[in-house]
Amino acid sequence: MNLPKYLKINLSNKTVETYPISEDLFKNYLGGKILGAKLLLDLSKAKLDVFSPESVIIINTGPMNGTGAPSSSRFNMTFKNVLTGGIASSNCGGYFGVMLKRAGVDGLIITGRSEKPITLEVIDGQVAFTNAEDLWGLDTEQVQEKLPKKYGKLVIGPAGENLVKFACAASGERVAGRCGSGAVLGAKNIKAIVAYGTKRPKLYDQKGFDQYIDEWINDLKDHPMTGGTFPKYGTAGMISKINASGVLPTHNFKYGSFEKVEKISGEALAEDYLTRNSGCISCPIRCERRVIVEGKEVKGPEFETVGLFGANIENADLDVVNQVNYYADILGMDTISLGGTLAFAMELQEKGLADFGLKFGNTSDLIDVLFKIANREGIYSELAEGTKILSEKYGGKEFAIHSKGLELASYEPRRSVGMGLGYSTSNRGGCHLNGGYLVQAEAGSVISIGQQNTFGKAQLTVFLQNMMEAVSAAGFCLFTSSTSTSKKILEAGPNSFDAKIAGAAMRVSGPMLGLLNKHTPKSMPMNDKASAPQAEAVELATGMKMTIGHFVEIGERGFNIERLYNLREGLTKADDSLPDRLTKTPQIPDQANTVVDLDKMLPAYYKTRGWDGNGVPTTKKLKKLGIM
Amino acid sequence: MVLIKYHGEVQKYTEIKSEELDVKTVKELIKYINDVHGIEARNMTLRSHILINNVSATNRRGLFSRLHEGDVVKILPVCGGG
Repeated sequence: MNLPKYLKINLSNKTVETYPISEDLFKNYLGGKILGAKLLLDLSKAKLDVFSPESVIIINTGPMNGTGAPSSSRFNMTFKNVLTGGIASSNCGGYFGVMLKRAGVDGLIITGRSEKPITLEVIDGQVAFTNAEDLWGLDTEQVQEKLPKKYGKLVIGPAGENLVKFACAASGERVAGRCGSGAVLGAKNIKAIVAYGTKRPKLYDQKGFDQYIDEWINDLKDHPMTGGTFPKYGTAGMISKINASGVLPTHNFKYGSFEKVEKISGEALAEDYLTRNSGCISCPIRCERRVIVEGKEVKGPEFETVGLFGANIENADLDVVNQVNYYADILGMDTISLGGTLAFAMELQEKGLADFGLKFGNTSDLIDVLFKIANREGIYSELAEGTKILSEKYGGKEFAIHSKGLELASYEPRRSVGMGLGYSTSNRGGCHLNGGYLVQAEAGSVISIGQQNTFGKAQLTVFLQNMMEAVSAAGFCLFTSSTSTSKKILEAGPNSFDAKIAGAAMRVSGPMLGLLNKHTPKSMPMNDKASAPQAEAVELATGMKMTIGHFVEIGERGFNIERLYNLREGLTKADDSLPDRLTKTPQIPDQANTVVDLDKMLPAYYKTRGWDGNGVPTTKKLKKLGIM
Repeated sequence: MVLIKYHGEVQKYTEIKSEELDVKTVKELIKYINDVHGIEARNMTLRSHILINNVSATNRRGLFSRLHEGDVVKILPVCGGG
């Protein structure tokens, strides 16, 4: 078995050593965010200051990166979360991950702090530390232009340099957006990491793998989502339906639909702004939008950015959304946390609790405010701390929209209660993806499992969280899972008998999924290209036995390791929470069930996970997973 | 009259972005689309989300949902997000 090569880099004394990854470690933790979490737990001291030189950052790939498998260019950053103090994983497309792999390196374990700004170069397996004082102060676009074109790049902008708590790191126009990835690099004085090489990964069964991948790519191109609406509309195509379901956050999550939604819809973006679509290396889906901002073609906004810089701040001008998206990227800030924080500041202003000169619906100075936050100018430095810290200073905790300190994505969970459970239990904080993304089945897709019912949602959430962990750890984009909704049902349509039956079946599947989860991997001893094509690809590439059961179990192990890290860092059951606005105030005043009933769902969730009543993994569970 | 807005792929078959119609139910609208714009337009409409005044027809009575004077019906592609 070809084991991954990891390098441990100490920036303080500029030393590099190989860090051995055993076969057991590889088999049990695979790569990406799961192996990253295991290494972070093992290699970092408890309760370190997030910006301390001793803190550890792991930047790694999964076994699929660089293999030519569809949508497999993603790499991961794992570190102590700047906003929550718990685990952070931040995932990114672009070229850096593939180039790191081609350099003959699967992962970097970075510790220490450089005295001066540096660029870390990983070329053909060799590491060099080069002075980057001339790059300090440049935005993410400028710094990448200064670096050799052929390199895979990971860089920070001014926000990362200034330790903005939601600063992101950029690779091309893609970003490892969440949890402050840019700030942790900035704290170590890393302006850029570049990678280059020409090595190709050796696969266990190259011929079988190639054949499997060819068929899978054809399936993706032939599927109505991955070959149809994703390339045509990208993620923003969901805006209108999500709004119609009452799930589009509006006015800092006070409401779930926006009266001017037509102006910011995916259809408006496609019809009035889209120049073409594009995508990451090795991706047949090509969901990226290209739009014009100030005469230049740049990456367009995703669903999250349109929601949070559209409805949630009551802005109906897509030009503004496109501009904010571009400037946030080049300044190096996560648009989800940035948008959430600005909406919270607007509500503080509206209620007379603080004065940042920000008002719902007024976007005239918004770009200027972005620059001030990134550069931590004056009072705007307070906005650079994020929603949670702002609420501790100015009040308004009941409408401070975050979980564990991480701002929520652009789905209003009172009308998608399973997503609410996912937000509250997501290990990295208010994240829809780490949270299981149940909103797609509750309010966004052709199949509907119901928006307000709680039955089975805990088990569905656990299953999806585990599956998405594994997909991500392997190095795949989560969109490769979109084919799990059958082509037949998509072609029949949301009002069809087929879709209604599928929705009803999924609605009652929770208890069965709970049982399957309890007995992995034996309970799912098969492979199925339609529902989980990733597992067999991993088996062909690595030679590891990888049924869906094995794959889901690796995901479960990852989720538990992340939980253990959070518990070690002081997070508790009390952090599996959402603000009162979402749990106590019905979105529809005369419908009491339009809240996220965590009191009802959390016990079922803990039980399904094999955790005790305080949300702590039991010894039995940890032994089953081989963690202890 | 009911305002019908065609978005995405369905527009390719209807060749118009919108039209005003006198239809009483979604089913009647589907029949009109079949008769006037053709079976491909009908099939694409059935695959789409149908919103009536920004509420999904699936949350009403599906294809049997009633339409009233002044209603706005949007026909949208089924998309994924994340």
